[in-house]
Amino acid sequence: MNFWLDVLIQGLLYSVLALGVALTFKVLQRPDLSVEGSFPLGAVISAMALTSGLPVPIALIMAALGGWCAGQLTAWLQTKLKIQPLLSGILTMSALYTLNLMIAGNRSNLPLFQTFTLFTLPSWMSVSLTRWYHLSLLLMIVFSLKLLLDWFLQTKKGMILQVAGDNPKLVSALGENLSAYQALGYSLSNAIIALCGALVVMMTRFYDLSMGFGILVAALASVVLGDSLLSSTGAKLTTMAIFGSLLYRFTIASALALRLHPSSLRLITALILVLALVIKPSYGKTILTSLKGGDNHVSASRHSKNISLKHPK
Amino acid sequence: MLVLQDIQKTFHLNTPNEQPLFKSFNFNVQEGEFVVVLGSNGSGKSTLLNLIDGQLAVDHGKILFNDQEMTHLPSFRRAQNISRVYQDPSLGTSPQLSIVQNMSLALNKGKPYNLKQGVDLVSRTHIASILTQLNMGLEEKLDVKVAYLSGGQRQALSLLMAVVSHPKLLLLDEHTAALDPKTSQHIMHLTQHLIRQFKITTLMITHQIQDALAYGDRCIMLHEGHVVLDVCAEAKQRLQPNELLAHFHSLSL
Repeated sequence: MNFWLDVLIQGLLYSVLALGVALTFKVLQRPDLSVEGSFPLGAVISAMALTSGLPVPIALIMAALGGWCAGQLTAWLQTKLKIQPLLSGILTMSALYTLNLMIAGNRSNLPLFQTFTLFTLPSWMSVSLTRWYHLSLLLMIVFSLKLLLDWFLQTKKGMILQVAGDNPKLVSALGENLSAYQALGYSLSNAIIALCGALVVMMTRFYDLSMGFGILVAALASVVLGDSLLSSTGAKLTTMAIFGSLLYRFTIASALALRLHPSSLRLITALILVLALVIKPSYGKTILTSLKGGDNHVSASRHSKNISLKHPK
Repeated sequence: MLVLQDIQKTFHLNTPNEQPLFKSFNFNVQEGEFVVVLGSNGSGKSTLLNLIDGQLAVDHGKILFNDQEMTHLPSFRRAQNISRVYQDPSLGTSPQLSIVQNMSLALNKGKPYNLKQGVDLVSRTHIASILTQLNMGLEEKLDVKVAYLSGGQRQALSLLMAVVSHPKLLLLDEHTAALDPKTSQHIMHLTQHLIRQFKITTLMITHQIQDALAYGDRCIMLHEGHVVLDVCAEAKQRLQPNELLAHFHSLSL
């Protein structure tokens, strides 16, 4: 029971990351490698804020702002200096590595064991409820973030943001500045990713400079997994990302439960990503309808488009 | 309304592949005109449109729009007054958004794209009524993603999206060339109808001699960056297909 609760908590925790990555990968339709820098950036900012006695909400806001700035940098490298999207992300990631070290005062890790964080159990609560407390907090955070993003993507600004990935030419044709929307997309994405870094550090109570390593592939695996399985149902982008993250964590946890060595985790992640990319959305529909017990009310018009990672332009 | 003065444009400037196109190009379009642009490949038709809507910068010269200089205005600013429909139907719409979402974005052009809901009930009924004039049944498919429409349906939608915001100038870049003959004819009728309804000055590139004769009130032919033929009004109506073809052949020899 506790094992599966932990998996659920992990899945929800990292679904924030998946939501952020989905914004660049699915909405802007551009890969953003700066993730591995902005995730620990959010973590180190909030860790430093908390240890210097700032309240939890301020620490979270500061982390998100830090991520926002990282996104602005990536966008600036791309739109103003005309550096390729892939390379600008790598440049930001590399620069952030040093910045993260500097923020932590040249330390590569920070323990937060004595610090009050978002996930510190209130004194009146029994320790046996820790997992349930964490789960309910995360459910609230992830659900409100999902609703906020769903709302935003349906506003006029949010719709143009979607067009910026879908058909960049149309953004200019509608009289809007494409670069501004790309900057908005990167910033929003990295702010959410940094927020996830802050949440993770508050949960684990330990900051480590290397906590971002390999995080991008894991996030991509979640996003693509959710997309492959759910896109044919017409599910929202946010729903797919959260579902993907949960499923990804369940898969990893199951692999570990089968006594696979933890050192093989990256290999498993890579395999999941490859699998998710190969799975045709129609397979997802089949699996889902069989799960739902043969309810195949999926309109043909909603039949999904193939995932973009397989055929990069 | 549109004046191009002494335009120079050279591709691959300062490289061994330097390719001058426009040397001293002058061109005017009057308010309300429907100009058909003919010319062989590489004659400068698409470049002309790219210079007008700002996707390409001129090397030298001036572009005036309603007596205001817009030579150095970025493309997205010019888009406030200028709309364009491309040959590729997928360039005019957003495939991942639904028909109603695409239309509401187009209707909002010129106004701020803020945090208000993109589509509400009032705009839905309004958009449905606008779509009926396409005669393609798109008003029944408001929530269908544009990705699932046929090329003809997409192009009709692109055209409608280009004109609903009342642009002053419409650029049509062989916008029926990728469609089958029947759909192409339908889109041309629609174009004529919409241009008249919204009273938009139009520049249309085409390779269809029949269309060039049947539509528009002025016809120009470009060749190697020069206007080699420019016929208006009655002269254009008297123009015969074989005359135009003869002109074409005399140029390519």
